[in-house]
Amino acid sequence: MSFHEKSAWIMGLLLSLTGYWYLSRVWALSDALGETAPPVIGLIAGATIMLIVGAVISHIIIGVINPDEASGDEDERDKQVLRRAGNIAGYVLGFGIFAGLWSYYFQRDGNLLFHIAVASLIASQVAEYALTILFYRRGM
Amino acid sequence: MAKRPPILNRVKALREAHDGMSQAALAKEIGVTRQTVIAIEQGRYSPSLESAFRIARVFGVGLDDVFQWDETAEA
Repeated sequence: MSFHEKSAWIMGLLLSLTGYWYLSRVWALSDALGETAPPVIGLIAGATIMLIVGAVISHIIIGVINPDEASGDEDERDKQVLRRAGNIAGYVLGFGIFAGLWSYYFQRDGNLLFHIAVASLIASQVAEYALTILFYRRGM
Repeated sequence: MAKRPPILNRVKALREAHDGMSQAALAKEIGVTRQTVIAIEQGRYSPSLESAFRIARVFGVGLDDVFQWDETAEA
């Protein structure tokens, strides 16, 4: 398994967990308030810090296990896989933002628009990692 | 579902015939990672034209001796 594939597995899992944690908190807060919760910077900061700390620790571990691969450059296949996964993930983000804008147009709920945008960012990144793994495993 | 490229190759056979050259050694010669050589051998990845020529040059053969179009995959 290449360094980029290992990285995609780790980041996909970490982002899924922190994303679920963040969105479930927002959902619970909205339930308690009886309306869409406003953006809470503490929650976003908490999720971001968890993600960064987890990513740094896990990448240090996989870098120590195989230092040659970790320090190597991307080759032609890596570039192709990462570019294609990124392109498709861009559509996921675009679709999410478009859905958020439509939601705002009909409901005039700026808080909901904010949360849909954050959820779209998370979904597109998770999709990028999942596609990276798929393209490495199944070919392109 | 990702589609396999319709290209067959003899990279593994040529590598083994070349004093049992390792995948890592071939990877280093052509400037890719060992995982990419594995993917090429398993038919999961078609290398760029430049890498294809590099592989052929490592083994001292022509491009056609390494890569062939898979006629059965066209159907």
